[in-house]
Amino acid sequence: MIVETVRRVVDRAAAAGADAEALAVSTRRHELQVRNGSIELSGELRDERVHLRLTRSGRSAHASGPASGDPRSLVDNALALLPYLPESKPLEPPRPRVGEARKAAWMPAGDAAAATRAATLLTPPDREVEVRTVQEYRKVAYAGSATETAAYENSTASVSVRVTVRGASGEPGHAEREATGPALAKLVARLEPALLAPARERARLLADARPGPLPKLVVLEAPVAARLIAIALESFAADAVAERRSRLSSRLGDRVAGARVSIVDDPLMAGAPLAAPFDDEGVATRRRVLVDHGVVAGYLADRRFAAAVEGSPPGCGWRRGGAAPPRPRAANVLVEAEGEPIAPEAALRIVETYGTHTANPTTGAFSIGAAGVVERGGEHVGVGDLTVAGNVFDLLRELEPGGGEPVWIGAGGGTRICVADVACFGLVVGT
Amino acid sequence: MRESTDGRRLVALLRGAASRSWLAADVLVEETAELRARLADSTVAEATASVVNGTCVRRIDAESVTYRCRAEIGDDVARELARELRREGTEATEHRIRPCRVDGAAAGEVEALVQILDAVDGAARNADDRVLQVVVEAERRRQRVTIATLEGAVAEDRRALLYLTISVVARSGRRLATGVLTPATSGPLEELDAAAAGREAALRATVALEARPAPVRRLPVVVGPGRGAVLVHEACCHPVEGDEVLRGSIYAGRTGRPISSPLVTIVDDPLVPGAAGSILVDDDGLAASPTTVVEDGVLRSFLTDRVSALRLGVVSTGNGRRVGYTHTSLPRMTNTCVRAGSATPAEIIADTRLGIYAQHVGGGEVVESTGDFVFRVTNGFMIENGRVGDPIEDTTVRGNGAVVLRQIDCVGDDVQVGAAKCAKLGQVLPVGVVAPTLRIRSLLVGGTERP
Repeated sequence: MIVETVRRVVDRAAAAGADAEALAVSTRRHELQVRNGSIELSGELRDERVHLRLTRSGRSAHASGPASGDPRSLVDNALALLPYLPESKPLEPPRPRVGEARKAAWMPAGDAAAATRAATLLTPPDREVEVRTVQEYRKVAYAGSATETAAYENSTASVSVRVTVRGASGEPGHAEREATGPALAKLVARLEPALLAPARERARLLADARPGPLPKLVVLEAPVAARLIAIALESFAADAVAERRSRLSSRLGDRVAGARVSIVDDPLMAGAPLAAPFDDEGVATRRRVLVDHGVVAGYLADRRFAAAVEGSPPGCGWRRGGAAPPRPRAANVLVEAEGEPIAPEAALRIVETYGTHTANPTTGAFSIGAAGVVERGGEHVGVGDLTVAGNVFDLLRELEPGGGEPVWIGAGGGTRICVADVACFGLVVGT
Repeated sequence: MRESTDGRRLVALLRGAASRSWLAADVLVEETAELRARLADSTVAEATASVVNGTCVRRIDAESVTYRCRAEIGDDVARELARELRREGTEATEHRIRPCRVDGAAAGEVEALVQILDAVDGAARNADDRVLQVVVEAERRRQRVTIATLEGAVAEDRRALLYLTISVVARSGRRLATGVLTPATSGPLEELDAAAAGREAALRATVALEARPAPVRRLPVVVGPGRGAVLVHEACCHPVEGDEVLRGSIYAGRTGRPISSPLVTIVDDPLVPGAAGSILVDDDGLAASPTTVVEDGVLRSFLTDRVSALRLGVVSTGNGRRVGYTHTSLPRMTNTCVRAGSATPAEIIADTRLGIYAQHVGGGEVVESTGDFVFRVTNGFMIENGRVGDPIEDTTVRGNGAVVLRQIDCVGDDVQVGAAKCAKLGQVLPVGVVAPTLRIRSLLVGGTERP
């Protein structure tokens, strides 16, 4: 049905003397919230939206609306914006890849509820155990005035857990964990060993946190590392480069990270949450190396900024949120730091952070609240009330492998990052 | 906008489809028109006209909430969704797509928005020749919601909001610095002084070029008016949201007891004219009204929506908000207002021997179960011997709400209105932050200054 929708919109634009590209997205989303063994929330959304980019007389505008809407009004809404927008160079028509990227999955709500209810039953010293699952099944169709119609289906899921326990002193300890992937059933199958058990252990350690000397070496656990690296990724976006908001402007070929560090974006990466054969502009996606053994090898670009920035072919135009037009963004990012992990036992492991979203993507400066774990006298001890400060670009340069298995984290803004623990010196830890 | 479904008909449909076992139920119909524009390099190169129409039906039981929502409006949509809830456990019905007209931005709004963006850009670039880039993202939203409940209540609210995110990048030599400002108004567009906003954002960026590393130690912190209320937003108000109270937040069970300095009174007020979080009706259909959360230091009320109020056994305070029909309501703040005190900002600074002046504050985060919170100082200065001194780089400030609120020892007389966006469980909503200058005796400043 959405394939017909995009063609109707493009045909309507043609009747108005305009070129058009239409992207329709049909979404089925289910969210589940289970706390202390009871289902608190279960909800399902069915949404179909169509996004239009319309061009006439060298000017382009965007419009967005429900797929059930009259295509004429969608086109009219875009036409009304044209007089206020500048003329721009025409964009190369995309050539979307046709064919199914990966079979999409859906876990029945009842099955998810049953599995998570059992897992959230309280056992001492638990005070609160909450699991939240979100799964999405999307059908995406694209059509353009100069492009054939293409479509694909995709599913993504995320699971997040919050655990609060009562420590030996009666004080609460809190920990959160999350994971993302293509299929909810697989995430739920590993709920206890991958998320709840580590969260419980961390919450107990933090409930009984004690001050004391801290090692200079800091290991950022994978979820923490993912959120900080996501800040640096914004500087790889071609719009930030072209608009001089990026510290990586004109740095193609320069060393910006350790020689063992590579960063790759691939919307079709095996096992990754997203599997999209074309981006939200209809451009065929491909694997893209951003950092090759420490050296800047490319940028993330949509069609508009691809020509403006060397080393940035299009294919990274993604929408963030319902109505916003596509902009250069990462999709599935793999961060690899080769080699053996460096002495993680002698490190301050940062296991919880607060306020990462407030970091500065232009300068790379971050200063965040944190909690960690250290080894003292052969036992693991929680350390709370910390701040950790530094710069994400310094972090990339100093980064070493920190051990652990790589995990997929939804790092915010639609970017999914796969990374293991990372170790670094040079961060400033406040207590 | 098109005419929405009649609220009384929605009630009848709900009653016709509901099961007797349902404790409560409601339906929300949303019609939203949004205009977005982005300016960079002194050009508005991007503009989007967006329409969102949808229906959400909720069933509320003693322990759980179940909802179904769909991107369509109409009597039959609400009826079908309610029937799906009644048959929960079976697959949702496939539905027909029916064409309907959807109208976009009101006449004249596009031009007005472009003028605002141009005014911000011009003022920012003219303020200082070290300004390298000005990016302004504008969201102009007009939303109509109709809520009908199983009990027979019908309510409608029409909301308008302009929210700007202004980012200025300044350069001196090889050093880059940024200044960010987020002015907003739920009133007429003329109420927003675009040129002043542009100048202010440029000033923040250019001052930051001279900033030195912030200290790493516990210090008194003086937070500026307006967005300084993010401190209170994180330290007090998130943990008193009804769902967090049910999860055992640090203030659970503490109504009637002192939780803050007696200098502090905090009101959640949805009726502040022009503020970003102002509403007349919450998204559960209850008339919005101010709620005194803390009065002279004593916790007086939680902030509840319909569901959390039911479970806490209290009357809802009308704080049920949701981003739209696509989600269920949660207890959320509207405008967090700290009552003015008697000290002037100059007196507060002069009384501070050594500390930080957080002139402008960014976002923050809180762990409601422990009270640990952080907020980011985006434009800060050292205070030395009662004087504002060198600017410091962006830094986070950390504390625990249960401790920090008691350590507010000065409240200024200079209330200002600020705007922010608050994210909770995937829903980002505009909120107002209305506060005077405040001083807190001790917070951990997480800078990068090395000894």
